[in-house]
Amino acid sequence: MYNNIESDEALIEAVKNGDCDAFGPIVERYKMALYKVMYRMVMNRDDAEDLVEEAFIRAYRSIKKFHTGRPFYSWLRRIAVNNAINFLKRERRGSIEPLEYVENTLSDGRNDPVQMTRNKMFRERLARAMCQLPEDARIIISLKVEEDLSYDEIGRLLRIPKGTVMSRLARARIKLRQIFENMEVRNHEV
Amino acid sequence: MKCDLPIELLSGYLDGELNEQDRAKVETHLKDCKACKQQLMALEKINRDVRDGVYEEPTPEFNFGLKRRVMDRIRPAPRRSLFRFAPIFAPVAAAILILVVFIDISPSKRIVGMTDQIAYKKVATRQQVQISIPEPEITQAPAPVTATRMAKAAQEMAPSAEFKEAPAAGGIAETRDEMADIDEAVVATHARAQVVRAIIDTTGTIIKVATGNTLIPEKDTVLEKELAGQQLAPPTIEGKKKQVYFELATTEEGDEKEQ
Repeated sequence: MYNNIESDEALIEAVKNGDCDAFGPIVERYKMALYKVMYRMVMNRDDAEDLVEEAFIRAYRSIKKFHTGRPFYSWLRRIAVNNAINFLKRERRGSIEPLEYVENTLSDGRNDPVQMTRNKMFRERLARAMCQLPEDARIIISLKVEEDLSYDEIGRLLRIPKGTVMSRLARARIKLRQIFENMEVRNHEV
Repeated sequence: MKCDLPIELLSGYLDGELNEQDRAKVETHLKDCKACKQQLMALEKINRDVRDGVYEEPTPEFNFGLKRRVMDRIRPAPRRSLFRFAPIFAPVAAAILILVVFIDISPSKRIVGMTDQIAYKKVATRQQVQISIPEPEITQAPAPVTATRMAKAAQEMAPSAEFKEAPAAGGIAETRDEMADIDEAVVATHARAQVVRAIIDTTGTIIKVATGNTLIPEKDTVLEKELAGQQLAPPTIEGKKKQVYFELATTEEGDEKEQ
């Protein structure tokens, strides 16, 4: 049996040697980080969960190609992001439907009901604004904000030059800000 | 004042991705440009808001079941073994067991059928035994009783408690519980339709009588009272005294005379 103390290298070597049980701690270790990236890319909980599962399966099947010693999570994330991009191309040709938050989706951690309501509404508007972004803009913002990847890393991941990353990310931010501010204006008007 | 700083530089400055020259340029510009300073603050806020706000907790199924689902999918399929046929084997084995139980019953408890006769013949061949019963002094039954008989050694044939009587004509096997204590079967040919059967013990005494015109005559109490105790010569089969069950058949007078 393996536990979460084992290093990535040890677990991956065991998996490479045919012990599939060693993959269990890897799943536990990286599922949440991967979920956050997937969620911000597709803005849908169910799809994000499916994409995470699929990413782990693909990673397991390609584990022989992974060079031990390199950061495993970066390799795993690359698989997941590529898979999510293909998913978006395949499934989401139109705009994303604004997601609907459930009441207890986010823990506000505050006791003020008014503030809690304001925060909830703010997050809903932000989420809708994200949904209105073009896919490439949403993906690049997700990778930068959630993963805090460098431009070089994003460029390698998306197979685009560093300069394109810079310009695409800047435009995505401006676009998101505009969408969000328009929502704020409309909200005040109402 | 018109701001000519590209937004890409401002965004890159926010992310720390600019080289020394571009970073110095932006920092110099921000000292004088209030709009760009506000734009930078807005971009920072967007970053922060997206990081903190755009998120939905995964379902409990994801939290607690993802590992199991992944492991179920990556685990190799179990090796093929005989156990994979267990769903087929189980009912077949049960059917065979039931058949064995029904077939392998004691010979003494199963119903006698035609197949038993065949097996029966294989075990021991019937023996043609000539027995002679002395002329009884029976008034009702025309004497002498002359009979050709086919008998079989019952104990050799049927070692169990049941006794099987097979008519000479090779007909239907007959089982009689009441004849359990009888060692030999004697079938007498007769000329009349009326059948008179009697049991004679080893001393030659008639102990039971039945009459009728069927294969299974009924007990004839009247005739039995008349014949009971009649002493005949002890019947012998192959030189041994035996209690016998036989049919008395009076021959026609003409026939008798002929004999």
